[in-house]
Amino acid sequence: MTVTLVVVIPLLMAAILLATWNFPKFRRRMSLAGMAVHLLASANLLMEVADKGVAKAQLGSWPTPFGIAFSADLLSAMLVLVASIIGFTLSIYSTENIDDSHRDFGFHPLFFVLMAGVCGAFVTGDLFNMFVWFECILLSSFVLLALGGEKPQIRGALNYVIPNLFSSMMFLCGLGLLYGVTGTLNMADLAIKTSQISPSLLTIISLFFLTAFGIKAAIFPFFTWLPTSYHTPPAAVTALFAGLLTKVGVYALVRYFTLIDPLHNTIIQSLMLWGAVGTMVFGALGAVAQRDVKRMLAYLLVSHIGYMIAGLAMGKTSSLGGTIYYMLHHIVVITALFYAAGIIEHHLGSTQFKNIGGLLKSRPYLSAMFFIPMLGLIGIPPLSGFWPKIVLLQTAFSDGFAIVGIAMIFASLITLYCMARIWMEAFWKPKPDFEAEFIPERPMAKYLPTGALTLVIIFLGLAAGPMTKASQQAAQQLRDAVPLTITISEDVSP
Amino acid sequence: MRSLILCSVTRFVTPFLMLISVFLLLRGHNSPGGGFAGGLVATAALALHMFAFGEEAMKRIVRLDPRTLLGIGLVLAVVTGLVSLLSGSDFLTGMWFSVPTPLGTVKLGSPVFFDIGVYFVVIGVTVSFLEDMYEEEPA
Amino acid sequence: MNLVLALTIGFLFATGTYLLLRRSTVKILLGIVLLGNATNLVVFLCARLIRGRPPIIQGEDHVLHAPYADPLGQALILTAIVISFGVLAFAMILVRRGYDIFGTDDTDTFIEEEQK
Repeated sequence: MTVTLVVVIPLLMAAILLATWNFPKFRRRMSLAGMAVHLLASANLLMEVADKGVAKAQLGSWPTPFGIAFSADLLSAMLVLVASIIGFTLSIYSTENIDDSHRDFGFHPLFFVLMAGVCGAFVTGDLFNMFVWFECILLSSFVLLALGGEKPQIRGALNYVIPNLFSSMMFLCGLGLLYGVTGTLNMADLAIKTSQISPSLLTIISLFFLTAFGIKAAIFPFFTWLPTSYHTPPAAVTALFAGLLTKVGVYALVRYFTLIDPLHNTIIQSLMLWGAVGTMVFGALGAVAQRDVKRMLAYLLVSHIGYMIAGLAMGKTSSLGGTIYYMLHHIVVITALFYAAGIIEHHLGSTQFKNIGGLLKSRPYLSAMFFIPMLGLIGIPPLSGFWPKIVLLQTAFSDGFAIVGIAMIFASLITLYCMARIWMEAFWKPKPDFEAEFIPERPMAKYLPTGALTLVIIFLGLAAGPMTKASQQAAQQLRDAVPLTITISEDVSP
Repeated sequence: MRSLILCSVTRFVTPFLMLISVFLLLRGHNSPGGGFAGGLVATAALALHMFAFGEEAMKRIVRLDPRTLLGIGLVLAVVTGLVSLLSGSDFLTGMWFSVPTPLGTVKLGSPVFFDIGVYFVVIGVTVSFLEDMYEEEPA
Repeated sequence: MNLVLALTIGFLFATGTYLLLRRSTVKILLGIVLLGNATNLVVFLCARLIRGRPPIIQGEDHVLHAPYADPLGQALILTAIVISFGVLAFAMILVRRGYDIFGTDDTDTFIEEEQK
């Protein structure tokens, strides 16, 4: 039941917020309350899954391979919980960041549609249903990105819309071919049936999915749309996109290439490995060239997607566990960093290096809230970035993927350089004299969620033992494809 | 430019189209039709009205803000699903009950309410498209 | 018939890709429309072309007898069409808005404008 609730609650909230369009008075409180309920439901889901191994539901009570099934394993449940934490903090953060014009264009309902899409994509057990949730995410993100409708937003939105529409079409083509070959769209059923079809045919189909999900996840060579569009909307929207949207693409890749086409295929695997290496290297190099906090973070975001793809492409259970831990960590860290960038923008009116500086003295709390996620992103122990990186590096060097390992170290060093650069420009450097329009008041609605996420980052790092264990367990579940296979066989047999 | 023929035809056609849309909505469970088709026919009627008499006239028919209409439809659809979830079966499971009416018992089910929700959503979405894309002819 | 449809799909993909690579946003939009239709045809063709055999169980039978047209493929296309309807409406407004504020539909000009 909870597995349905985590999708239905945001959907219902979006509907209610739309229906009360002309009564904007309680909108903020309502969205806060909605996210609080969602957070409880997701925590409940994780407990249920940890207890029973898998939670499932059949929409409309249709038996599994025919109807749409929701099934959450440990990976889905953990991702839903983290997404919910991000959503909850965002519903606080957005009260200050989204100005009146944005609220009038419907930020809050769209935000809930996006949450429903993200959670739906995480828990669905049906590939076509995943397509629908992707479109749900896509449509709401289009509108959120274009909010405001000034020159940069329109250009950013065009850069975002066209590749993502293309990706949807590739997804649909792949779906059509897969359905034509196997006659089913249920993921667990597909897992059984794709093992019986010719490997070369499956490779062709998988290429469609690799392209489709690759564009969403922003892997090399499809990542260029991301850095050109992510810096244009308000910080709250960027933080939400950076945290969740690319991870949905990564999640889809993980799900597809463990369950439906489990990467025995050398072509796909090597494509993915090189894609991961390219993502890490070129994302990092792109970041070096930037002179703006938000743009630099967007490139670093791309670069770090490479780690997750590498973990998946190496195809070992341990590296898959590393990918899962990395995903959870990265969602929180990158969102916190974009939150902090939003606060910098609030205080100084800009995030360009030439216009900022002197925040270490004037805003020590902000500095701490930037410093900790920053160390987390670089991967300094004991913070959360370190542990999955170690696992990934270990697998890379011990299993003959030395190039991937070298790329990881290179990307880490560049990340260190870039973050040090931001730190120097925004915090250490004295405040620039010209046009120093400093807005001194501290917006609590922005500081609180950023601080909360910082605590989550510290927790994720200190709880390295349980987190590693949980992510390895989730990887093992994926590898065995046990829960889903059991789910299906007991329903089909009669 | 306002065409006399269009205006007088529209006055007759719009109510019929509306009636057909409700007909399509209600027969949708077992026959071709349903909320989506019905909603589109209703919007076709509204679009015709808008072409003949202008945007304001159409808004007077709809009365509600199209986004409110959309929201109400969505709430109806989701709540229909939630009712079955709360009564113990899975989300969106069809539930049927008989309603005695003077003309005999009618079997009414949750899919009907879901379809009505869809009907409102379709009208809300397409009307807001129409509003955004409509342009008065420059005088 | 399969061959004709396959050729149509190829043609649509080719023209759509060509248009997608143009500089004008309006042409890009048309390219997306063509690609979307090509994709729908792929799904349509993959669900098999069977004419004149609707998936209806005849009077005295209890199961469907093959061959029958597969309704699921068409249901998928219907969903995809509805989604692309919404997406296109948005993209149209976006292109229109771009034209309003940049005064052109040329993407190169957009870049120049932003660099100023």
